[in-house]
Amino acid sequence: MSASAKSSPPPLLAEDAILLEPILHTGPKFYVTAAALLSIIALGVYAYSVQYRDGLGVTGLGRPVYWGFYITNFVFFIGISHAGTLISAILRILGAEWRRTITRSAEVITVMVILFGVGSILMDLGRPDRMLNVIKHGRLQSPLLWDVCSITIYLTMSTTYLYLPLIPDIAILRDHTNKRRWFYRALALGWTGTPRQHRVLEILISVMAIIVIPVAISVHTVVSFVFAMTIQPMWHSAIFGPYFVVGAIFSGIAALICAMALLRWVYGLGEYLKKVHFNNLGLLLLVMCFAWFYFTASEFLTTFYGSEPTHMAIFWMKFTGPYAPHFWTMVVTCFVIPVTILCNKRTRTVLGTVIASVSVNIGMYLERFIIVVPSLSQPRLPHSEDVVYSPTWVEWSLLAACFAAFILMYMIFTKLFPIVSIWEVQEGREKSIAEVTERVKSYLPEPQTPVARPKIVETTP
Amino acid sequence: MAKWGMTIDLDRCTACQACVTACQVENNLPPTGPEEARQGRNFTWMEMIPFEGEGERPKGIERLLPRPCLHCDNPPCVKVCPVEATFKNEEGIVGQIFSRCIGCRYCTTACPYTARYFNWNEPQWPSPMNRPLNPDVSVRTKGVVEKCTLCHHRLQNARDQARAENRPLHDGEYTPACVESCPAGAMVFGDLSAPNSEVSKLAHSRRAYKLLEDLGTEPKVIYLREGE
Amino acid sequence: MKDWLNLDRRDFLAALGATYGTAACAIAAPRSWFLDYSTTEDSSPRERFVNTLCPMCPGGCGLKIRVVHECAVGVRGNKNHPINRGGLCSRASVVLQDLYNPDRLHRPMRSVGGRGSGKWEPIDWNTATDIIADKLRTVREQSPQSLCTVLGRDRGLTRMAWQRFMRAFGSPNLIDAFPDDNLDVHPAVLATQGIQQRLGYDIANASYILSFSSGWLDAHWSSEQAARAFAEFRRGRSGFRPKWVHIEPRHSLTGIKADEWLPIRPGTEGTLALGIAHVLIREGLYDREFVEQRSYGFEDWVDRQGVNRLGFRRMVLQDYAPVKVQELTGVPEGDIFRIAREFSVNRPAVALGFDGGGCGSSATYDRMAIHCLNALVGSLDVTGGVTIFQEFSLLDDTHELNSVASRGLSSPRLDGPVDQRRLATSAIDLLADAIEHGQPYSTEALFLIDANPVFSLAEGKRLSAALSSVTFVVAVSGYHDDSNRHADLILPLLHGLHRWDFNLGHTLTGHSVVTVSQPAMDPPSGSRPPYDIVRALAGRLGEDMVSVLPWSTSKEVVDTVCRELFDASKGAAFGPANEDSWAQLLESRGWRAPFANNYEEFKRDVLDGGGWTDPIYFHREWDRVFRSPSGKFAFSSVYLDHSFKALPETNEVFDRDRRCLPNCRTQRRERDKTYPLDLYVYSLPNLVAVSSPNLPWLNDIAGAYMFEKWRTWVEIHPQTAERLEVGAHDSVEVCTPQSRLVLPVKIYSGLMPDVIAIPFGFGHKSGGRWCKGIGENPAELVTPHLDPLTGKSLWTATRAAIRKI
Repeated sequence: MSASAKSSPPPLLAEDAILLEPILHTGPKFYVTAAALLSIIALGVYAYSVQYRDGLGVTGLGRPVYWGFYITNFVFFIGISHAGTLISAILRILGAEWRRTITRSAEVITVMVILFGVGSILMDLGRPDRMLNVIKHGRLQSPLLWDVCSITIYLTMSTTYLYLPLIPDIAILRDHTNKRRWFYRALALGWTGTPRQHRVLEILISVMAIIVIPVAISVHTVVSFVFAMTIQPMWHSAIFGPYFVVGAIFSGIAALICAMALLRWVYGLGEYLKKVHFNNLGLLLLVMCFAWFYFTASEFLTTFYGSEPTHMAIFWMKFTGPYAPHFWTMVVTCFVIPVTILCNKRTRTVLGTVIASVSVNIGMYLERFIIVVPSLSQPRLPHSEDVVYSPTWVEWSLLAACFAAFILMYMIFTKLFPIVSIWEVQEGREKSIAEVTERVKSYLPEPQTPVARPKIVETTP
Repeated sequence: MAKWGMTIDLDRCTACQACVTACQVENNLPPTGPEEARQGRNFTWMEMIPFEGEGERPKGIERLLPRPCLHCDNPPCVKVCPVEATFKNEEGIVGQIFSRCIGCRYCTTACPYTARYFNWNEPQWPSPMNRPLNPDVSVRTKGVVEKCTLCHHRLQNARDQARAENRPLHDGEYTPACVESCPAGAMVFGDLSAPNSEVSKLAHSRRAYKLLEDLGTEPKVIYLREGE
Repeated sequence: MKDWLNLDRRDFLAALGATYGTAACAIAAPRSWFLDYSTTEDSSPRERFVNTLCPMCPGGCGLKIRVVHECAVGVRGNKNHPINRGGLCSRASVVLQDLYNPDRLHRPMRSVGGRGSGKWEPIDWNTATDIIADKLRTVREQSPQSLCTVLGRDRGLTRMAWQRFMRAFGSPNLIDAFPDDNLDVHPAVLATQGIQQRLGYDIANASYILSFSSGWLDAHWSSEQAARAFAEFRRGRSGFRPKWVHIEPRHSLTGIKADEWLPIRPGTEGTLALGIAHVLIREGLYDREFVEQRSYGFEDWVDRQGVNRLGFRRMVLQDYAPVKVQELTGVPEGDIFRIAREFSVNRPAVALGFDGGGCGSSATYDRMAIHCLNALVGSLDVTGGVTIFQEFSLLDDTHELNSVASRGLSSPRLDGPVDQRRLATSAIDLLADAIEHGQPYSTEALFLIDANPVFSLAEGKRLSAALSSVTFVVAVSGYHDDSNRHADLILPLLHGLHRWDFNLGHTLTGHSVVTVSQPAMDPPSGSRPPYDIVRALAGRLGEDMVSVLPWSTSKEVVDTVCRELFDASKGAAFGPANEDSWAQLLESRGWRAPFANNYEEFKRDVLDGGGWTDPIYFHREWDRVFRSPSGKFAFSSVYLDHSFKALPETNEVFDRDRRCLPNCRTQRRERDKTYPLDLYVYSLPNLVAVSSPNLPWLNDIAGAYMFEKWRTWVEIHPQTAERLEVGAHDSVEVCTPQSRLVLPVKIYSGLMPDVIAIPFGFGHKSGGRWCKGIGENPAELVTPHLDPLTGKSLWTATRAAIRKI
């Protein structure tokens, strides 16, 4: 079998040959992009080395704004990470058949981005050399420890959840390519595609899909608890949990749409990532957009109506004060732009959804920033108004480096594994059409007169 | 077991900030310049806070409040520390273990009184200014949080002294630098749990109030209101 | 299936190690994480405590320095010291950071590349002394009076040495660089009581305080005593909380701590005082007994020529009706009536006129008016009133003058003719003019002894130009500063904690306090105490000069001080705080130092304890308190009348009667279209009279009251700001006829509308790393308006305008 794989893709994969293309051939564009990304990462590494040597003084932070970009990045990245696992799990459980080509690209986002969430926290530490104190002297009463636990679990589970559906595809790679065979052989775990293996895999995937949902929700709830558990004004809010989860899914979908658009463009996957996927995700984004707006509105309305002075100080900082540009940009990018684009069927095109998604991601970054920084800028006791946080080149560089590293890792992933699940696509072609027809039929009343059933042919052993 | 606390009588306080510098030199707080001040990176464990007047001037009341760490009995900072680098000891002092702190600055954001300080840079004492550093207090490194310790080293010294002389610790043997320096005698320090101590009498007087009392942090630094 | 799991522990660690290794390589090795300072080096550090005098300001507090391994590592207050009773002020706490300041000067330096260039080369002490002595020899031969010494805040040994030096040298020009610290005789007291004594306000025991533009909590000459007195005033008497009304154009720290603040137009405090006097007199609320028995010039009087003269009562009733005073001062008429009544009912009541912090004094006539209020309610020399300090002097110079010296001393002083400073012995504000014009004679040599008048005077710029025209300038300073920039030589000022010294001070209740101070540690080798500098110069100039400084070291001077104190046969070395029991004990022993059997023992007690005090003060010793020609309190000053008569009646602006009465503003100043605002300059509390501006801790907290840091700002009333259309984050140009400065705006409602306030304390042009180029100096803006009686510059008379930029 391997002999034939050397010359051309096996007939079995002829239809989906394009999916193996990025793995088999790497063009100069890849190296140019990777070099560009690597140089940004190098800048980030340099920036961090400066920070490690000189301390956090190289950032724009100070008293009382003790937290800034790094914590914003942390919340943002953890939010984005909801793209994958959660969305893919929900779609799987619901049996949404259009998911088949997009789940993989979503799950990868989760695993990669969560690393940068964790990384952002480490960047924020004054003494990163002591980070293991979290284990040595860990205090479970601290919401930061909750974060440590839930993120670890989430990372493990989402990695597993990414890996499980990857096994049959790795086996395909092992069997049909002669690149990195040792690597694929190790990762394929001896997958041969027997019905038993399929059955076990499917059970595992569905179990994981169910478990990963509460874990994902818990992660972002716990992230919000870092803020909500303190008694600081406009942080100490009970809706922060769901608010953060909704925001996370919202930004996650947006990130997924962006990633899909890039894949479609770079690898010419128009046939797999179709307009319908963008349409469906766009609708989902629209729903989350309203949900997000609902939470935002209730958060601000509650504060405004209660009008406690300490809370109002921060409220006005966001509405009219130094953070008003951020706030209103957020409202526009998170709500006005996406709603305008996505409500209209004519603008809900691939381009339209991508524009909306980019806008949402910018907006959601601002949203995180607006949650973290203003609450700190106006402490309860009077404070000099002169301390206004503005990030330095170090923080900007590290932010850029995080994005660059994420993109690079994503690119490398697409060079190692098919970014669209081959076996699931095949399974969809071969089984699901029939299953869905069957299922739809089962929803409907039995026809009065017997009709000849279409004949289904088993194609795979 | 003593429960250390302090009262600050705003009717005696002249807001001269003697306590501020007394604390700074006692606890080896590093000198900072205009750039640090602009970025909020100066160290004032004891800080003078002006409160805007209530009502219109000239009749309006304005408050000048010396603010150390309030050593809350229910400290929001201790709750959130992930590594137990900050703690409330059995005598009520909220302490900080500089050598364990990972510098996550969760405690600094959680403190409603902004009474915690972070070493953004390596503290510097241009030579020979490092010579008069207090040998009883450790110098912090960059990247850790620090705060008022109620001059805990003084308690240790006083206790060692008492132990060496085989006697209990007397009232007034242990006083933080701010209290000791106050020329107006506006601060009284002592055991809040001893019903007859001056500090506990003052803390239960009519004028006593706690800063941001509604937060339920139960500060052990208690202010005495101006007026009758 | 197994091989993918084949990553064993060693591989894992290797991979981990590689990752970390790479990271570590990228990072430059961190600088030392700990200072080279170990606390556990020696389990039994050699620790000792030394009682000394605080050198940070002239207040005369006692410090207890903790010395470990011959390095000062801690400072506490001397608990037995009657002035600070264990307290410290913000400045005293950082005394060690002044001592071990990286920018302190340690070697004599000679200016190279022209004076004022800021370039210096170190030279040795002998060369420095030779240069100075050569110059002084020439000066003394030609005209000894052309040597001028500007003396800083030192009130002890250094001042004594320079006084003796200048007298023996034959120059009358010993000029006080800081006449406003209220440490000297106040001219208003000289005018009304005829005494050359300092006075204090017994705040702690007063029942009512009326303080006039005197930020006595901001800038008291003894801030610890002020704070303690305030605390006692407020809470010292159980069940009784007295009232305090503060009158000032700005809601200062003092105003905030007062029960009531009344905003007033700058420079009209005396007018308000007389308005209050008007009410007191008209309603008969004054102390008749005191006024009738102990005062002079209340009613109309007849002078020696038989001419009828205007009395205080008639002038006040004529000229200072509350309606008019309201118009002049901006204080509502109703408040004037109310305060007058309160002031008279709550006795002892005391009216505080106080000049502090180098921001110019108030006009002498205003101070006289305020002082008259104390007389009207009989608060002079009573508990809770005004205390007149006991006369006490040490090391009096009784040497006979030789012919050179007496000739030189008989020449007029450089700081202005006597008719410009009737009530003041020295007037530094007039110095620049004299040097500039070479009148009455040219200045050949000038010493700046720990003084920085270029920074602290209104006409600093002019003085700085004048200094560069003096042939030879020598500065003795701890740091580079705006004044010694113009010197030929700078001699380093040995820090107070390295010196033997003494200070003659007083408590607010009138007791004399002598603080003696021994070096906390041995001075660094190669350093030279200020006394040794003077003595070495005297030695080079001749036998007659050395004979006035008979002590070979400053330690011997302190010995003599102790001997004089022992011989005084009163008082005792510092003891525990309770003064009453102390006084009883002393009384029972016949007012003699009760604990010392002999001089050696006494000296040991004084040195160990930190000083000596005489806790006895008798009130109502009228012949001590009133030395005016009449022997009474002079509402109308005969002393002043005589001083006017002694001179030809030229350029007099006042009529004959009013010039010896408290003569305050009775006309509203004309509206000035170009400069419509009043400028009010106030001192930053933590930078007042501080000996070193190069202390980051003090500069950091100086603006805390206004949420400001490390800069100079201009405070504008919201109404004024609205009219001028300036906002909180703007910078504006403050223009006065004198100069202009660009300053950030601070909107502050604690101001009289149309008054702008600028803090004084920052704005050094040269100096150490923590003061050079920080902020601006508002003294540059001040239009010098000289007090007609003292020749001091009044800062409150400056008009200003604000321009948006």
